[in-house]
Amino acid sequence: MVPVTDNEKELIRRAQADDANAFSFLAERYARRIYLLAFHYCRNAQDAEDLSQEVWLKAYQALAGFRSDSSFYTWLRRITINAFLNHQRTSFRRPGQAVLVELLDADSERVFESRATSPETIYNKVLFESVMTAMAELTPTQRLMFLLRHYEGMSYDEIATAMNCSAGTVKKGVSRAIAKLRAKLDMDQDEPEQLTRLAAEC
Amino acid sequence: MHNCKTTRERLTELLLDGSEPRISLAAELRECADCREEFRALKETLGLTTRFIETTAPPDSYWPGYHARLKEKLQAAQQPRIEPGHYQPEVQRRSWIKQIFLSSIRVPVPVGLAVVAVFALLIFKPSVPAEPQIVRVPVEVQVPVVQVQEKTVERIVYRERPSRQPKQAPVSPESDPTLASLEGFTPAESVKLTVIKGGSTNEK
Repeated sequence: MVPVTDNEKELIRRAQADDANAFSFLAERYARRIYLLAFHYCRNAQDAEDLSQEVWLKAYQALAGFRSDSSFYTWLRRITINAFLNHQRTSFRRPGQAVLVELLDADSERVFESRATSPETIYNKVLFESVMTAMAELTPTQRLMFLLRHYEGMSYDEIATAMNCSAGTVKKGVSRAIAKLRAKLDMDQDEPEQLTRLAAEC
Repeated sequence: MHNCKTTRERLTELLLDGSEPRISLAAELRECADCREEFRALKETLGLTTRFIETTAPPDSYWPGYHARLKEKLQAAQQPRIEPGHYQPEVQRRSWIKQIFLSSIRVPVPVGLAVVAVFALLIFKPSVPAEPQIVRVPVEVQVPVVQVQEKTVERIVYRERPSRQPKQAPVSPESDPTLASLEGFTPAESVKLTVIKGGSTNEK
């Protein structure tokens, strides 16, 4: 749980009094984290920006209702999960494979564009693509549960409350997600060395 | 007693929490090669995923643009808010028109229910299937006419008619001896005879 600092309290108070600049400071503090969640949830850079900014807009509109009984980030994350679930209902009806191909071409280039073609870059790119493919194998719900449990460190009960389901469902979802990822990324111990060697030969 | 399934579940939870296996679990891992392998693979998978998530963060150069776009959206979201006392005719006119459509009117509940019921009846009235209209369209149809040749048939019909008896020749006294013997007879007195035919009294 991210503690609410005095500075943050002040920013929240000012933002609640319609100070857009104060709200922008709050956004700058957590934007990267929300963006990453959005990016790995919807697997598309443009969608991630739209979705994360939608979260900030909703947060701004709902800020008057924020009481300091939980941390600002916990409150924000709740809005994020709701926005993701709404997005899931409307946007995940298109064929996943097409999105994945578009993603691998555009986003892996974006991530690794600054690091030329060193063996490390190629190795990372191969890893990036295999993890991206493995993540794409998960259902949106499994992916969200996994991200919240693994990346956000939320408990099963917290996820269950946020996603309006039982803790058992969340546990099963996370377990299945890990099993899928493990099966997809199942590598022998010497495989990273093989990949490095392969990259060095390129 | 060691149970691979239980141990693996505990290992997953440990790795998700980011903590190291406790002494009892570490002993189980030493004993079971399969669980040890599972632990290694899980640790690698989760570690790789975390690294991947961190790696995909956009570069620092991305964020100024991101925040500028967000600021624009926030300002756009702020615009409809009207400062109190600040006259904005366009907005006021719009809100006046909006009021007409969105304002609530106090209606007694029974009246409201009656209105709703009438509307419901009008909307959900069982529709009588309309009789199909007969559309008369002149269609030219050629009908073959069978031409029959007139034929006059002549037949002779014989009818039975009652045969007529040939007329009897008047009886002469010469030919009848009875009449000849009565010639010159004069009755002594005349007697009037009344002949009664049948049983009817009316008949004379």
